[in-house]
Amino acid sequence: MKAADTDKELVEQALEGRVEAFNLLVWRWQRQLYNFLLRLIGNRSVAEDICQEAFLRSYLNLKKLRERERFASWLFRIAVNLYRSERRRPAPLAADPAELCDSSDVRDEAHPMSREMQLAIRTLVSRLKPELREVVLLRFFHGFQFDEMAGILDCPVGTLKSRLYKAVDELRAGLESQK
Amino acid sequence: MNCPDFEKLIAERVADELTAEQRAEMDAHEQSCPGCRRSVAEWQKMQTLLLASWPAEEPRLSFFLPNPRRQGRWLETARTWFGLASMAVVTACLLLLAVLRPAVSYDHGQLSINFSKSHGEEGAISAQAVTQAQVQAWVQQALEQTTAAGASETQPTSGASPIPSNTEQARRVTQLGVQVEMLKENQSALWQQVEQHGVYLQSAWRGPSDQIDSQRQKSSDRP
Repeated sequence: MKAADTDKELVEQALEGRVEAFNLLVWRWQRQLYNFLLRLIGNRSVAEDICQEAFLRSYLNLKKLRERERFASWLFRIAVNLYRSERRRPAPLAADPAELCDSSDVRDEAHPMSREMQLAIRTLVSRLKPELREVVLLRFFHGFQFDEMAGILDCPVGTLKSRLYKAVDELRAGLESQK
Repeated sequence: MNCPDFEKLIAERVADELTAEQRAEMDAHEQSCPGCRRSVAEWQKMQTLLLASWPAEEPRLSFFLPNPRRQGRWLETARTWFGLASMAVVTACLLLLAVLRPAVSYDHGQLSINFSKSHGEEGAISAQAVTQAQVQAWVQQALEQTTAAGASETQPTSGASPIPSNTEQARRVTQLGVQVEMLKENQSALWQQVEQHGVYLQSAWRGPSDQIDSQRQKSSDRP
């Protein structure tokens, strides 16, 4: 077992009872999944809880994963389903982008942007409908392809594309209105 | 390729997910259409802005699962040692049973266990229950021995021994009577003890002669 192993190899090793292999999968995907949930929900604690639950469920149901090379899509799908279940609760999740723009955000040199601009764009993203926000995050932030997104969000590719275009139009309109 | 077809593939073009043929067609259209070129630029700018606005952060928690292997290894070791210890105890018990060969009997509501050495060993211990008939036989035997002894004393011996007088004979008869009474009392007392304590186990070292006798008896019992 090594870090260079593919997801499929690690899944097969984990199925043989090697927890280290699964931990390597967790280590590989935890940052992506956590940040996806954080941007989707806007709440660190809830994002951490769902992330933990998603990893646990994926470990417990690893045998059900047929396409082992698609572990990441499957993991994100579990997380999205957990998020949707959480959203259906009587007290729905409320994203608060301002809260997320705290001192823990460090602007790196590759993407210099003012704090106000960051907050404006985050607010625009958080105001998107959840189904549009999901598509924007998976596509622009995490680089999933449309067929992978279709698996994660349980939605046809055509619908996803139309949602993405709609989301981009709304974001563009929002940015122009702030100028 | 026209503008609506180009629009449909902008997302793939920004993400560079086109086939070589699609890419060539889009390049050709982009060069000839400023509107579609601007659309692609806006998509790319949007992606850059989004990524810059919300850089990824490290999770505060580690989501690593506990490694059960260490726990399993410890449990495995414990199980192994427990299994070995259990086997050793069972083996020791079996060896003890084989060496001591306990005889278990139950009579008059009392359970008795007696340990004896192996039959092959010289001078083995035997245990048997005492019956009333056996006690009576012992007393009868003692009476006969006493009577015989008394009779031999009363018979005249050849030689110079004097003939006992009537008084002497009467004294000996009286002594015999006292001894008979004492034996009878002993018989009743012994039987009371047997009744009181249930099975009375008599243990005695059996000599080689006894073993030979018992072997003869066993061989005679065979058909």
